[in-house]
Amino acid sequence: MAKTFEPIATSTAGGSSPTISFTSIPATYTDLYLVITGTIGISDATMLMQYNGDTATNYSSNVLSGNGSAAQSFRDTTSSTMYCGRISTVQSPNIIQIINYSNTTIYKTFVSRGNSDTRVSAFVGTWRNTNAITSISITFNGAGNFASGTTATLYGIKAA
Amino acid sequence: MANTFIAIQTVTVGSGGSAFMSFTSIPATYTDLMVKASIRNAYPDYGDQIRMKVNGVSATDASFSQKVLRNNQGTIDSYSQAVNQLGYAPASTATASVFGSLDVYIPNYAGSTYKSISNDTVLEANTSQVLLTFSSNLWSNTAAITSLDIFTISGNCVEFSTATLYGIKSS
Repeated sequence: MAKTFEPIATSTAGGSSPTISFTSIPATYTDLYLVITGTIGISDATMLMQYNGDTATNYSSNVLSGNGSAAQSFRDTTSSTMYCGRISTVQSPNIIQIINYSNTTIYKTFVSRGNSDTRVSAFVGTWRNTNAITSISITFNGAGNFASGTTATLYGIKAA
Repeated sequence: MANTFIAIQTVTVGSGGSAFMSFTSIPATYTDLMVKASIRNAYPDYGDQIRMKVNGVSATDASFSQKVLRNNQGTIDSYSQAVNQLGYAPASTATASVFGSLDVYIPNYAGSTYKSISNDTVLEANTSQVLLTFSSNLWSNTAAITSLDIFTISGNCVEFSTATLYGIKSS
C-alpha cells in the first residue's frame, strides 16, 4: 500500500519563543496537515499563520466560533496574517489542513479547527499568492511565548 | 519514511444493534488518535445524542467539560456542559438509510497532560432535521487513554453503524 500520510517535521516549543516555524517544506505531497497541541500563558488567544515569510497584506480569513454561550462569526481581509486556531492556558488542540499547497497556479487555501477551553472555532483562509508554500510560521495575538512542551507536527498527504 | 496513519481497529455493528462501539487495549505507541464513525440509532425520534466514555469513565463525569458550537436546524448556538458529548446521530424517524458522520481527534492521548478532544459531527437527514456540531472537549485527567466507548444515550446503534480508530505517529 502506498505511503500517503507522512510526518515531515515536529517542532517542540522550549518556552522562549512566540513563534513556531517549519521551513524547507518539500513540494512532494498534495496537501499538508498540521497538528498543534499545547498552551500559552494567557487565558485565550487566536493563532495567526503566515507562509513563505510574506508579511504583506495578501491574506484573508473567516472564523466561526462559540464561547459556550453565544456563536460569533467574522471576516478578516487584506491582512498580513490569517486566523487559524485557538490556544489558552489549557491543552488546546488545533488541526490545520492546507490544500494543494505546492500547486503554482492557484491561490492557497486552508481549513482548520481550533479549540481552547474557552472557545470552539472553525477557520478558513486564503493566501493570494500562487507560489508553492515552502515555509509556515505560526504565532498568536497576545503576550508571551508558546509554553514548553507545546508541539506542532507537520504531515504531508499524497493523493496518489 | 514511515507511514504513520494506521488503522488500529474497526467496529461494525451487526444485526440486532449494539449499545456501544468500543475500542479497548489501545496501545500507547502513537502520538495522536483519530476516530471516524458512521452512526444511526434506534431511538424513536429523528436524532439522539452521541457520547463517549474514556477509560470507562462516565461521559457525564465532572472531569469532562466542553464547549459546543452547533447548527440546530438552521439556528446557530453555543453552549457549555460537563459532558463528553460528540454530537447527534440520526434515529429511527429520520430519513431511512441516513447515518451521521463523526470525526474525533485526540492529540497526545498517551501523555501526562489533561486530554483535549476535538470533534466534528453531522446529522443531515435530507430534511430540515440538521444538527451540525463542532465541540471542544477537555478531560481533566492525566492518565493515558486506553479505551474509548462510543454510544447513543437513548437507544442502540443500529446494524451497519461503524467506527474506525486510527493511530497517528509524528515520527
